[in-house]
Amino acid sequence: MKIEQIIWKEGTGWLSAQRKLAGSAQLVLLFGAPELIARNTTFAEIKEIYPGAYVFGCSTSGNICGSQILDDTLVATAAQFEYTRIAGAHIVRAESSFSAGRDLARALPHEDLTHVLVLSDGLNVNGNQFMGALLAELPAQVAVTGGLAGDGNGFEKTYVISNEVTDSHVVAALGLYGQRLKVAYSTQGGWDAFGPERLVTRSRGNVLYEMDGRSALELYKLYLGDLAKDLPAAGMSFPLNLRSREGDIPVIRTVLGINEDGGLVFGGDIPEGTYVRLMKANYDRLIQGAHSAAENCRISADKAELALLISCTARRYVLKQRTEEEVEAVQQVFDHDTVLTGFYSFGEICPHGMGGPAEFHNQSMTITTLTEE
Amino acid sequence: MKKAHPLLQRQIKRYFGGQPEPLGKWEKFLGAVNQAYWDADQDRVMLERALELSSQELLQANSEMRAMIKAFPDLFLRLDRDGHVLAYKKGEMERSPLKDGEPLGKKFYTLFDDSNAVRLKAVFLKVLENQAVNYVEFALDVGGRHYYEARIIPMECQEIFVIMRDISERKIAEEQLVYYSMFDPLTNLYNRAYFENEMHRMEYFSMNPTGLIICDVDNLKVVNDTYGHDRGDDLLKEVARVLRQAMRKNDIIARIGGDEFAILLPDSDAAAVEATCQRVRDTITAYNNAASGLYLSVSMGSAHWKSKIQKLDDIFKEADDKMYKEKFINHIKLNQDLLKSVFDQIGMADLSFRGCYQRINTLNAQLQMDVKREGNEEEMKLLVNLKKSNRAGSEYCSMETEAQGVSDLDEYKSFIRSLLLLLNTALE
Repeated sequence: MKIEQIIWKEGTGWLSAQRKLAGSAQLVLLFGAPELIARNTTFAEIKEIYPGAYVFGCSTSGNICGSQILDDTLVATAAQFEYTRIAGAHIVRAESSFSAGRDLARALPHEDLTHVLVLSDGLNVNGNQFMGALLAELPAQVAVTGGLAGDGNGFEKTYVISNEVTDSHVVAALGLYGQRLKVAYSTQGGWDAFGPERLVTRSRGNVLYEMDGRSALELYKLYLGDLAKDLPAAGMSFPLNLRSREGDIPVIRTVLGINEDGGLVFGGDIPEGTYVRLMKANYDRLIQGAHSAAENCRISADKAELALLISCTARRYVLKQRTEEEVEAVQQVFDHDTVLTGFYSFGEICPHGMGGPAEFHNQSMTITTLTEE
Repeated sequence: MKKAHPLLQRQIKRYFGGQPEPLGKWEKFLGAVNQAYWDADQDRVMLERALELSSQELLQANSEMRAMIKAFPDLFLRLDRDGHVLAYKKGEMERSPLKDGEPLGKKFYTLFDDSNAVRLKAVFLKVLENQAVNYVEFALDVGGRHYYEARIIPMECQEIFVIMRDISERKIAEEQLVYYSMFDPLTNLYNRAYFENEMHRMEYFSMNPTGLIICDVDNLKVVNDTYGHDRGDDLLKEVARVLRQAMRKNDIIARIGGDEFAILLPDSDAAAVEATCQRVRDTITAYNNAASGLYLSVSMGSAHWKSKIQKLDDIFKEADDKMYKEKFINHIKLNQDLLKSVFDQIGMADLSFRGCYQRINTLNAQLQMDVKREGNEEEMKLLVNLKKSNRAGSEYCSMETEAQGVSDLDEYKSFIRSLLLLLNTALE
């Protein structure tokens, strides 16, 4: 596999020391600021540079390029596979998150399918329903990783680009085919639950209204104090640790918005009857979490030619100037020639462990590595 | 640059003697440092606030939990994973299930008697294995029979919580409920619901012939009306005793109505059913010969269920019809016996019914005069009834030579009842 990265910046346009794969790249992973992804010219510009490539990407809350985190840019990572074939599919404005997942899985050829990368609108898709339907249709042995598009801290409109289609309300999948492609993946958090455990007493899908009979919004306002004016972004400081039953592996849910009826919109379902605890960032553990995710990938596949990092925008919100430390922690694990790309997202998709079913996460660092053998 | 953080201002003052002018290429660097200071402050304030609020909430939850534990009379034990008691609250049970001595540090199941210790240990190990709540009920003889329930709950901190409560009242109530759902409390025989269930169970599952006997106590109403319901109840108890005496252990004897009994005879052919009926009759005769109490008469009907083609409901009807036939005959005989027994008491043993009727008329007239003299309202009512009875008696007397003797049973019963009332009054 050969890989190269080019960056677009305001004023300078596309920058690249070399464009060796211009005529041979089959895939371009494109991540960028929402207004840049949504430009009419972006797709045409990429196709002009990489005419034979399938363009697959989304808007972000920050682009990862090597160990850097870049805003107000486009980062294109072109890949030329030696043995691997790819196929893309997308669904625009599906009737429901369920049908989006189902139809997307059906749109991909299943024969010889090794792995599926998924990118989704970050604000209009119920991650749990989408993933449930997607996995039900895909062959059981095929793992799925990916993420939800971001839009900085705007929480207004996200975009997915799947070749000629660039729009919001889009879910897209990239099928990777061939037995010589080795894929490893891992996801880690690094947040600490604190305070009392609370019973979810009123919720609807991914909208939470009450915990222990108290308004969830009021509780967040109480905990945030003066920062409550920055909701819903400020809500990322206190994600929820959610478990259904004692002994279950908890999942983390991030606040993504506030409904007009006062409900807090989360990145995944918060079913009534489940237990939740507020979580807070632990800086060292967040960075250590990213490092562990990379190490897990390294254990699963000794070599990584391309590493796709999808990290939750909430991590960036709390790590602030230290955010690059988590990308650096990942880079330390891999070889110097491993190309790092990725983005800060509104949700991550990855199995808890190798071979398990993909799950929808928030607040995590999810890494997928690709290598051809 | 954003307003300089107070710490940065002090540091600049300390190390540069004031504002470093010009900032030049340091401006961006100092801006980032300044932002980091403000961010750190913001995070610190937010986390301190979160810590304080969550501490308050946990304190509140703790206080509520303590109040709850205090309010419950139950015994609480907190255990480590090996079952050692780490903490406990003895509770306020009437009788503690714990052995005497200090529970702290001991394996919790050793605090109970040996038989219950084994069960409690088994459930404890199951909870450890499954990490799910489990419970066990056990009984102890601690100043009488007491029942306890132990709920064993795994905690997330790898410890185990045990709640024990005295459930004696509930267990007794449950046992009573079970009893009343199956038994007739007066006779301690099975009740109708149980009998019907058994009947249908046998109908579905039994491959063997089954017998059925229906018994009806004769003239229970007369006894109730004459001597009161307590004597009537005594009569029913005697019937139950007699039936138990006459039946086998696996026969199902039930009181299915006020004066009606039914017996299911498993594995019984026609001869066995008839033999059982005869045993009942013999036992009653023996009872009447020996007893100094109430005269016992029971009408019986029996049937025999031969194959699954027949429905037990039809068999029941067959036995019931036979019983009513016998009852009709017993009715006349019993009333003759009863009258004779009554007349014996007032020296009219050699009188015929017709003579009896005349004597009663005489008594009636005499009493009527006494009542008028005394003006007793209750006795006036009695006399009115007696007049009515005499009319019925007159009719009875005119028909007594006819076959079966009686055409209007209700009136005849009324007559007999009035006679007995009159006699009781006269004897008083």
